[in-house]
Amino acid sequence: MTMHASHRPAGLAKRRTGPRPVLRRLIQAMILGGVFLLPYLHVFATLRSQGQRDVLLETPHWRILSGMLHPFGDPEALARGVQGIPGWTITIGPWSLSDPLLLFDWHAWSLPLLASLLIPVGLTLLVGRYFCGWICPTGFLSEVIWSLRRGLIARGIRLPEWRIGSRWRFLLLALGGAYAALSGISIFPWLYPPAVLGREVFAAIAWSQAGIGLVFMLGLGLSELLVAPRLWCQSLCPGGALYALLSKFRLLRIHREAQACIACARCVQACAFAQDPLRDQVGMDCTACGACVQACPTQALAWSLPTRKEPA
Amino acid sequence: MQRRDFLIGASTTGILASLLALLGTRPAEARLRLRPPGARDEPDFLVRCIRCNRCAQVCPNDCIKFAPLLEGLAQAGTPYIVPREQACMLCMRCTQICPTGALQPIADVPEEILAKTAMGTAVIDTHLCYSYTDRTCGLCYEACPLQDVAITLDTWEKPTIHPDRCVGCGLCERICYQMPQAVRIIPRP
Repeated sequence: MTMHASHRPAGLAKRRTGPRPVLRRLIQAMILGGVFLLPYLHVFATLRSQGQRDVLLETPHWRILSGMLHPFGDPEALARGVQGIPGWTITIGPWSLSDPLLLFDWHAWSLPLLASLLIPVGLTLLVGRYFCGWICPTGFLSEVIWSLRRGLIARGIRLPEWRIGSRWRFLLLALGGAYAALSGISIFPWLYPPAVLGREVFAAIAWSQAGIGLVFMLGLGLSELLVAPRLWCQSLCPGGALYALLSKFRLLRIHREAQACIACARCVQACAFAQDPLRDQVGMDCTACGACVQACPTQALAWSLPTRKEPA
Repeated sequence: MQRRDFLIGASTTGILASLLALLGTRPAEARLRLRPPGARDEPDFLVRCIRCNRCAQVCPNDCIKFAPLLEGLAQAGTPYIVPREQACMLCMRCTQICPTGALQPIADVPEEILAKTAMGTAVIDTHLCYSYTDRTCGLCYEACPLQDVAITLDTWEKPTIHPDRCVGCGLCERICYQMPQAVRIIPRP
């Protein structure tokens, strides 16, 4: 830090630059872990209520799992307290959270459902498309695949790189939304990766069932690894598209302090969504991941409230 | 945007959209499914269910299953029960957790369960039932959570179902010793 401090013009106060990347990784890992933990909790609660708890307790992987869960209390109480699909719609104790895509399902509108949209929509209006960068379990997997891909390329393996632009997702959002609104049947539970992943992982672990969704997820993962980096998040995700539209109105944005900027362009390289903090062009696709803020050697980038007219 | 990228994007989006359209227009299966307790009438139920999986996760008896995607979007992911494999214990937790009222809440007290639950009705096949074919059994009576209300026993343990009071939980079908089962739940249409 002292080495970098020399880049900063004298007289500029040290600014708060934002949350540390470790925090983001921790939250993402917790939510992906939750996707895999929920079915185990369900199996445990089921066997206990059927009086067969001992059957499960004798299996070694349950011993490891219950050891890990021990600080959080009784697994059965945990299973009773958490229901739903992480990243799609979930109830945690008294709190309920749902994806804004469920708004199109207007036949199903109810007070609890609409109330569960308040926090996700509110947070998006505050900090933008945070969901994609912080919460989405498949977004996390996609980031892992992306770094695997860069590792392959760094080892000299040549891979094609298709980029199909960022407009198709709005078409999918419009088609899916119109279909849900007209027919009352939503396609998003089968098209939106966090919903698909949660459903399939639960069925696979709790009921030993494999569905078509697993094929979809596998195909998507392979194509992101081999031919089209970040294909879904950048180009096809209807959920991400809706979050992006909402995030046009966001309050907190990345701002660049021109005096401190040394135009090294590390922020541009760090961004997974082709945003350009160097030219003050951070738009609706910013997932608030903070990669650019962390990459900046002179702390010229920071989150702040809008001070002047910004490109949306 | 280059022409090649446009073609890839258009074909990917087209394939996804047409696959889903194909599933969407697939007619819902004619077979009636036994829905969890508190379910609204079928057309209303299908559009209200948001496929959130909560009902199955909260079920202590693990009896709720989900229709697969290949049956068309209208049915896919909706909860149902196959009582012969695992029946409902009438704990009513699924009705209380449903966030959209596709399953309407029912309190876990006998009077309310009896008054509000209408999943289906048990029907006995007297040609198969042990007690009606010169043996005695009475297992269905023992399994019924509404003993002497929804089901009564005559001489030689011959069971009689009272359709107006049977809620259709399926515990009788689950326990029936005959193979195939001599008592089946006919789902509420």
